[in-house]
Amino acid sequence: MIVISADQLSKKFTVIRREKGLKGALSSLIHPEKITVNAVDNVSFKIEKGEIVGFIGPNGAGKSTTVKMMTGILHPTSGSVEINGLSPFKDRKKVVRELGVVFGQRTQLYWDLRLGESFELLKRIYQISDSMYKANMKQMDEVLGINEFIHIPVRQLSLGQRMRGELAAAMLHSPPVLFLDEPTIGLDVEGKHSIRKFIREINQRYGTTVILTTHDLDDVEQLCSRLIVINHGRIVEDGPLQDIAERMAPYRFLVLEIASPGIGIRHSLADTVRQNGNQVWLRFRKSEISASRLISDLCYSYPVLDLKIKEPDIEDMIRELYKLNDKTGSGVCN
Amino acid sequence: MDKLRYYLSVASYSMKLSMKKQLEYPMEIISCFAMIPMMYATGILLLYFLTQNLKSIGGWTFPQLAFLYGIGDLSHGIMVVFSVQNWFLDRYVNRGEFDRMLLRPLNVFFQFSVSYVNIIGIMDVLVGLSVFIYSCVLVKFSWTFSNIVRLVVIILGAALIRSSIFTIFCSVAFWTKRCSAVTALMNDMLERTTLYPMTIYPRLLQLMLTLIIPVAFISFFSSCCFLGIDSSFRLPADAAVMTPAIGIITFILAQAVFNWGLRNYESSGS
Amino acid sequence: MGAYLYLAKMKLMAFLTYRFEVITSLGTNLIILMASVFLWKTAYSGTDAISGVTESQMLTYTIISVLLSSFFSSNIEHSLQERIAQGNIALDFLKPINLIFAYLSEDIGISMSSVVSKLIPVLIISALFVQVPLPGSWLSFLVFLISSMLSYLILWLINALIAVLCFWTVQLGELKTVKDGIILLISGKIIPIWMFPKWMQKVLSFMPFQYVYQTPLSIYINRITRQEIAFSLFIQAIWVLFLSLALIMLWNKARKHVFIQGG
Repeated sequence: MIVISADQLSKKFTVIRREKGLKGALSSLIHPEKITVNAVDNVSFKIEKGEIVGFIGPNGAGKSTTVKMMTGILHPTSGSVEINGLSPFKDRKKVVRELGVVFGQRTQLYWDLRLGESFELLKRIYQISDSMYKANMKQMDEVLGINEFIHIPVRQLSLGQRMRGELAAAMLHSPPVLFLDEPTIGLDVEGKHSIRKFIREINQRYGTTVILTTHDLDDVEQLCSRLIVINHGRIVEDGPLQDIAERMAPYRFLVLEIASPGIGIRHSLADTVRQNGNQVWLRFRKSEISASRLISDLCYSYPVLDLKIKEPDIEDMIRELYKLNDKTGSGVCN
Repeated sequence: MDKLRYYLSVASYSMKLSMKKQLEYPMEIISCFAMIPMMYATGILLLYFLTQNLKSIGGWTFPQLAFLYGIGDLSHGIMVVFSVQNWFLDRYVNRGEFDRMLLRPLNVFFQFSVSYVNIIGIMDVLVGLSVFIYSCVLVKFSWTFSNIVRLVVIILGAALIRSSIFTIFCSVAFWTKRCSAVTALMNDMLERTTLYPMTIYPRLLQLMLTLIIPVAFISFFSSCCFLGIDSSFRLPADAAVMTPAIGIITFILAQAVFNWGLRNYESSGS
Repeated sequence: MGAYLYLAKMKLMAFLTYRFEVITSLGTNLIILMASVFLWKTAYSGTDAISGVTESQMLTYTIISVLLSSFFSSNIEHSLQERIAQGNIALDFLKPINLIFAYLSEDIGISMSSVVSKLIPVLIISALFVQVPLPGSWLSFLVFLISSMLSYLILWLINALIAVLCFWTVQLGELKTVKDGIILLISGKIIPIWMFPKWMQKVLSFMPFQYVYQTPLSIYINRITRQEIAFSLFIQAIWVLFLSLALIMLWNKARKHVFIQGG
């Protein structure tokens, strides 16, 4: 069953170009120059019930704009979005009842008040019955452990606790569709783990469809069954995780610290890409050799003091991979 | 009926949270409470000094001017309690508060209206009330039942007119992202036009302040009605009918302008 | 000096960028002007002079008062409050410029932009629709300019003193409004102090407020004698000196406060 369908979705913004200098300030006072930016350009996709779809792409690629159009916050310039067959603009109230939304950078909680008070307001807004509310709160506590800080003012919560609170708030009315914009941004390993666990759990238990945007490669690998890659407002890739991840981020780096600087490090399945002093960078393909195998091989033959594995940066990879598209892409036009 | 109960339950809880939020910072409220009476004192003192030199302004004596000012003040105070968030509409736009409201299955204008109750404004109401009662003593107001009822609907209607004027003009923030200058403009305009009797202005201006921005209905016509002064306009009905009626009309208009702005917000993003 | 000039220029440009704001604040000034003009026209119907001042003198007083107030805009309260709230003020203290002068330069930049955006338009409109606000004499115009500069400093120093209180109480929105209210009432901005009861005039002569508006305006419309003019200028200068000292003292206290409290 198709939950979300976007058809040739486009969004143009008009921005005023500010000119430099005193003369420029005066002239834009009288005659401001306007330019049009294509933030999202002819984007089409369909999302099935129960999918976890990751939207990835560099900053300013159009991810957030696309999410905002799907949730009805932003109206498209052309094209259409439907959620369960309804348009979020024409039937906003009906559609948003079915949505839970978390913006990692913004809060929907009352900053100065206890977490529970924000939930109480949501209970009234979504007309959740007492028994339903109780049951949902119990579940939220099981997965997110929110009861331990429900009586604390939001401003005193740690970022991880606040994020758990945000998720609980978004899921309180049991929406079948959940949008998450950078849900793990700024969290520590443990915080990220509990958020991911929650997302998997609700997806499995209730078949919740999840759409998330992220910069975190681990989020993508651990959660998403499908990826949609956006660059310059266009979908450049849409498919199963494995295919894309393999192509996008085929390499990992192993950074070694060795006992003395003179040793030359070699391995048949990894390239030594950089060596300065005691530090050595090796590049390897996940598909050819596992990290643990490589580490044990190297530790066996060389005096390794310390090591760490580096993930490639998701944004760099996308930029690198789709550099060619830039020239034909839309970007800014006058 | 169920719908009304639903809206009331959301409104009351949302307002309660907003008040609780402010009570987290009690010092701020107390310091503001101390300042507000001084603000209102300046207005009435200006009128007093002026009439000491001029005897009357456009035929209005000090007690009559004080009555005019009293109605204006009290309605201002009520507006400040319930809809001061209009002044800060640009903050709602710039912080993306409307994004959040658009994600909730409720009318956005309703959510905006119940999102804030200004505790500090209670002091405005109290001071406004004292000024008003003082002026009532000066003009020897007759406290009959019907007069009290008329007063209450007039003052509520006047507060609604004030609040709607701010909604209409501050909605410009949906386009420009700023409304502090507009707020200042409207505050000055409302102060200047409710402090002195409308008749000091030229006929054309009076017409504009009656028909285009209905400031004259806030305090001028109702004062004329109570004090038996010729307003130089023939109202089709008593001020007790006209003021709330105009209040409701401007409120409907304000909602339309707000929704128009919101549509622009939805199409331009923030 | 270059740094301060640059700051002033940046502020001017930033202000001019917001076309809509420029037009609205012009509107505010026009409304205040029109309201006062009609008030005095009503007041003068039937009399030639009130407290020895003619209608035409009073209208000039009103127009120049609006022009002055449009020029006297200052932003120090707002910018200082913002810097403190965001915790940036400690960094500012480390910069190798005098912060007080930096804020003054910024405000002069804003005032300069007000000349273009408010003062000239208001002057043109009032000259067309009310009357050309001619000064009493050339000499009084010159002395008026000197007196206005002193007024600007007095007002700016008052604003700065209130702004510095921000270091101790972060919220000063209401304090600022009260100050604006006081200035409206007892500076002669709307109603000249000479219309106040005698005892109040006496009390107010010991406060700085009437030297902000009433003094330059009285000089402009030629209401006071040469001797009185000299005396008023002297008192204005005394106030500038006194308020500057107060600001420096309070500023140094604030500086210590920041380094002890860490912003």
